[in-house]
Amino acid sequence: MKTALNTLLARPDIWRGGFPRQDAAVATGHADLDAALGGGWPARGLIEVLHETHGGGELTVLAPLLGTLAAAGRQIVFVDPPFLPYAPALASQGFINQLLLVQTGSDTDSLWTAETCLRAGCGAVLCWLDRPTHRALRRLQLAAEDGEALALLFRPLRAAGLPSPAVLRLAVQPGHETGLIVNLLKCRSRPAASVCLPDPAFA
Amino acid sequence: MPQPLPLPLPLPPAPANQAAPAARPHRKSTRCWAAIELPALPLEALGERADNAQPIAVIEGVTPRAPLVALSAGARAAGLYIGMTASAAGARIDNLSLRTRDLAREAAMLDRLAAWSQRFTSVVSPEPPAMLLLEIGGSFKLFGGIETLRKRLKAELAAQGLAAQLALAPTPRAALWLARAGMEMGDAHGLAGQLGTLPLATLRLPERTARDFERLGVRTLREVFRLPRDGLARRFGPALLRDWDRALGQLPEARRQWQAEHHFAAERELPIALHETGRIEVFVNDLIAELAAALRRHDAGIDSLTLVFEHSRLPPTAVRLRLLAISRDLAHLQRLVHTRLERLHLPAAAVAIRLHSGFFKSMIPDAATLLETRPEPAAERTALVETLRARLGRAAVCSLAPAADPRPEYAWQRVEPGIQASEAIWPRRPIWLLQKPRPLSERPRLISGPERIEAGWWSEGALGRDYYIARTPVGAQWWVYREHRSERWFLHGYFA
Repeated sequence: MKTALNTLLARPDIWRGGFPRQDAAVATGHADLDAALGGGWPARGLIEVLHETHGGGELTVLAPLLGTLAAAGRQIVFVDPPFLPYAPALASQGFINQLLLVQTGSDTDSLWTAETCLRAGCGAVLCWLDRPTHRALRRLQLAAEDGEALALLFRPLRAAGLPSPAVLRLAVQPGHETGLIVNLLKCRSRPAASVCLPDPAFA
Repeated sequence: MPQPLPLPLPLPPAPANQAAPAARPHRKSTRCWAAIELPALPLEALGERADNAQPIAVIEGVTPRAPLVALSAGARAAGLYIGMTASAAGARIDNLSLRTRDLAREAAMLDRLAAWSQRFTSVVSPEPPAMLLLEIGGSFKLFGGIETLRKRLKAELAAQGLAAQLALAPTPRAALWLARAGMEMGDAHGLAGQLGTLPLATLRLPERTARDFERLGVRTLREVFRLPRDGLARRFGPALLRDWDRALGQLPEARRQWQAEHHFAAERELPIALHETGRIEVFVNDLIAELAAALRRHDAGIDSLTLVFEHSRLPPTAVRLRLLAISRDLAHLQRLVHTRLERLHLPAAAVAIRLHSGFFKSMIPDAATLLETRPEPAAERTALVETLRARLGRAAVCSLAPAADPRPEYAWQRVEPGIQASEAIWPRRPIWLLQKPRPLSERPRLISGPERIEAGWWSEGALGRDYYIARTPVGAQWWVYREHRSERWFLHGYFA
């Protein structure tokens, strides 16, 4: 009985709270956030970034991650971003040479593009799907696992109540006067937490 | 048995120091170049014959002052000459038919002739716009001697309806000059003397240089190259002397060798008319496999291919695929076509399919590596971009780079994926830019700035703005500006 349970628990798709994660993590660039995440960003899978307004630091949190991936020679793909990614800003973040911008025009194509890029082994695929179904999220998660990549999905804050297969869900909000508040809504094997980032670039 | 070299064309009285050209047998190893000049190529490329008794002229351009570049025999007989304007020619005879020059067709025709001339020699080198050079020295024995070969070349050119000037000489440049001057045979032993008699126009010098020579009283090549060499090089550049030395064989001349361009075309009838592309794909994959085999045989790759679906009633549907990098990988090509076919809706059932490729290009295939299993990042990206473009279209995928323009709207550009951008240092800029700035009803709360940008006064897009970073009540950071002229506030970007 005990052995059967142990075998079951050893399966990679079973995860238990309170146990440290086995897979590699990518440093976030902020010590507090690293601690809350148990080492750093997960190396693969779907990450949901929930935010209320544009300009609330939702990409600033991820910039060190994208820079690290780009430095490792992996592609950063923006799929149907809501605005034009501004090249002078990206150039100072250090991942412009690995950036691909894909503009499709429909959600179906957007999802297809994200999946294709994830499976092709791009480092991170940033997408903005309009009302993604649970099935779509699941497909992103599987594609990301498959290609050992990160799917970064940006959604409005009101989606926080909806179920999601994501590895990590975080809500990013600007702080009261300064900095950023990152709420970890779901994080495998870690308790939910809230971190305030005193980001000097986001004073 | 080597054939005796026929006597060269009658030379004008040679100067005393020139040895009389003697007929000598050609050795087997002798290099001999044949130059074919097609003076009426502009006319022939349009499907007209040069010996047409009707007056026909080809003009360069469409204006009345456009010069005539080729004439039929009829036009020549009526007193027209090359270089006169279309309006002057029209004034001289009224039944003149004017055609516009088509350079693309001329080039295609020259290409066809190059392919034809490969039956005489493997060394063929076109000299655009209207000449071909053939190294025929190695072919004498096969064709039964120089004279037989020369006659055969002339006969076959005439049979194609071409008015051609053929000249043979030991060096390519000499053959070229002789053909232009209308002479037929160069002589290895008196070549300098023979070339010396050619008129200055043979060199096709730029108009100004030709005028300068005329002013010096120089009319033939002999008179040109009798001038002191250093002075000649100083005044007219070293190219002239180099050409002369090449013509005499004192300097080697490297010529680009013409090679036939290959491409692949195949057709497949479908057993029954099929509408869904998914079921047609099996047959398409067969064709691609054939293509890949052909590519491997030629040790080449392609960068484009076209698939055509024939319908019984409607005009055919054509799908064109362009590759970012030259490829001959069967799986890659099939995957690209698969992605494209997935999205394709045929207007009717297809009864046959055709596949034709772009011209084969030489490629260096990826070598299989011993240790690394992951493909090169660049190759991986290329494959990904092609897959995406096959489905979404070419314009849907790009990379971005900063552009050197002080105006924020123009400080970025789309670039082909893989082009490296310089990582310049910029003042703090927002990650999202609104392509059309949004007017704000009131002054936002500013937290830093201003950064004054005044630029573009030299063009339509002149602007004078003070940029600030603003913070909204919910804490978002905006890139805003106040326009100098209207004093109004605009939102231009988000610090996401």
